[in-house]
Amino acid sequence: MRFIALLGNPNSGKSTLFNELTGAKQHVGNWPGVTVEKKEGKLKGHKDITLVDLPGIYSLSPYTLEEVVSRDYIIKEKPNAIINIIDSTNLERNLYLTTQAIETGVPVVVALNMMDLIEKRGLKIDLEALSKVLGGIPIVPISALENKGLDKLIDEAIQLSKDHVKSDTLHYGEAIEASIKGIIDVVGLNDASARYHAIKLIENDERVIEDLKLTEAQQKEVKAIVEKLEDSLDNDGETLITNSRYDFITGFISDVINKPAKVKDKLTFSDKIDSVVTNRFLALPIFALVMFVVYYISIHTIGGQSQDWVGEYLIDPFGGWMEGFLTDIGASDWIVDLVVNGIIAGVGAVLTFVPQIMLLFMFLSFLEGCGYMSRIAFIMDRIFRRFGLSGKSFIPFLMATGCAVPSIMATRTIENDNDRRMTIIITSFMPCGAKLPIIVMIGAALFPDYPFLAPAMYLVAIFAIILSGILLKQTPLFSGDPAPFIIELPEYRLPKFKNVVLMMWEKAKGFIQKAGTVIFVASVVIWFLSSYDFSFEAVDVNDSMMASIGSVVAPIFAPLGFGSWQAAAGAFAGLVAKENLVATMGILYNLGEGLEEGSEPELVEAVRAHFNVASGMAYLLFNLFCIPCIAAMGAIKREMGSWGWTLFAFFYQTAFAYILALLVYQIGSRLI
Amino acid sequence: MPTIVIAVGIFAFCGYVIGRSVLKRIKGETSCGCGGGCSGCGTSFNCDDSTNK
Repeated sequence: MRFIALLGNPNSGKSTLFNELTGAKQHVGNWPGVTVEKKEGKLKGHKDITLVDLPGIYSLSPYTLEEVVSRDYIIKEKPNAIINIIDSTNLERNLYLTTQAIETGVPVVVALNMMDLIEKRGLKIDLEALSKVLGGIPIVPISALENKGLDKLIDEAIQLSKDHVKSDTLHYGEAIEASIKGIIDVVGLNDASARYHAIKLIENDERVIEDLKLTEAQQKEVKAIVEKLEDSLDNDGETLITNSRYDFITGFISDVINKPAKVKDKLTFSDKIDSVVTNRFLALPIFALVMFVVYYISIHTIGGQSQDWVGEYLIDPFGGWMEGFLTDIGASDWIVDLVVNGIIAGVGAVLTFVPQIMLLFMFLSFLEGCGYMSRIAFIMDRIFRRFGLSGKSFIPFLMATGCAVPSIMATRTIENDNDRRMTIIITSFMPCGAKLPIIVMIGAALFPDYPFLAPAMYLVAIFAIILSGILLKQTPLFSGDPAPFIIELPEYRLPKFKNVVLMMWEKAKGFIQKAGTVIFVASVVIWFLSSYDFSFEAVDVNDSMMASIGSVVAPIFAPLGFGSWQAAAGAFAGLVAKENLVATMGILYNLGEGLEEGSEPELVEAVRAHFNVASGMAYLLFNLFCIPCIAAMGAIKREMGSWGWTLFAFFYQTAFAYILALLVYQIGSRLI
Repeated sequence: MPTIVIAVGIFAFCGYVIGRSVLKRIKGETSCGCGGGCSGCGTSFNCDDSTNK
């Protein structure tokens, strides 16, 4: 088995290339931190070759988790070859990592990605000259997005992995080279990565010192060599090496990139768009407008009509058909009730939201793929920073619009423990895909004429995050300066149709699978609890176990305006999975009474009958901001690493949700 | 008879879903909150469908 590693800067296209080469469906993000662990996949057509997608990094220094993961893999696991993927539009900065990759002793092939953009800009890169200055390593122009040049790239990488061709490395000047040689001799380094280790010792890299297990005598000798070098060149070792690398790159870059005179200093298409969408005054209104349009189309127009269609022409007829079928084959009344009023009512209530989920994530995928979401992260960083929040936190918040679990894990990229814990606590405030049905249900029932409810909930979530940031930063537990945040602003481009459809499909698939598994089981349990009393006798829903349990809890929510046992049961059922709240409502109101005479027993009608505008809004806000689903709770426990912090997170989220809902209901009910 | 067959089918399926979830937890596999794997919702952590294995 041979291994080929994909190494490159954040957002250089590694995951896109990985997906193309392996046929995997790994999520591709237009921001750093999407890949925080290495991923493996078999190379298409080469079962004996494993491709390893490493986290995006700028250097092989050990300052961030991503850097440690990537360089540990290359140095300790020693892949047979490295594909160093480079964003051609940022050649100078990307080559810094290349100079380090070459020093590891692992054969390197450079994949010059986004060459289509270089051509569009009228630029030319002299591939031969670039290869020559980099010691003769193979350089292959590609476009991962357009699937161009990939065959040649793979051929080169496979050849390298067979031949173990090692290229020459850059020359650091007489003084540094003498020190490198001295350190290699003192430490007795003799493998392919000897030069890499010696350079890292000059940089005073503590992890390398630890890994090499140097004796005290060796450490003293290495220290003496480095001090002598630093004295002679009047700078510290790390700066000397860094400067040498940049001097080396700047020394040849203008000879390699051929820029016609007319191209120089001309604003690119992306620059022109950015001058508007990242404008100090226009950025936020444009963001709000974009989100409004996305949600308006996804939820109210096409999405809303599709939802009605699914309910009217698929779920309802299916329920009717199933009832007739089960009766015809002689099934007992209770099994008919379980299937129709339990499973189909619960699962069906959730499934009607599939069209809206698909549309929403198609739009979000488009916005991410075209590069706009990266601008949002940049804009929000400016705002978050004012309130003491790290801009790095916004990436998890963006990811949380899909699902809280990966967003909680994405906080691993935040080095500062205080910021990281705080981000874990508040990231699930962002409404995930599973909370969307709750928003739509309340919106359709109580705010049918207000299409801005869904985007407003996202703005309220951002407000809740900022407010929490301000509050938590005041405490000694979370005080401190926010960590620096670096993000690439990629060129605007039309996202690949396949990626947009893939994300839409994966989201819908996940939603349907969850409805068919977790929600199915939960619906059976809820039906059982709602149909029987504690002596297991079939009773009216108002005398059921669910009613008894809900009635005990309901008084806690009475000050929030939703003190009915059904509402309390829905909120608790939502802890299994947030869509479950809607499924529970579907079952309880399907079984129950209390609707106006003549009204259809539809979920929307039922919600309208049980909530008013103030209590409905309070119910919505409470369920959006209280502790997330069980999967997210597990992720919080894993990432926090302690029960103390986990319980603190649960307490904070629930208290925040309770107080917010209380204020909204108490103030709202007085105003109405 | 149909009642028994359907009831057994439903409860067996519920048992399978719960058992699989418990097994995943015991094995320490990370699963995504949104259900069927992770690739649809922005993650790249230990998901079967994000690798070719």
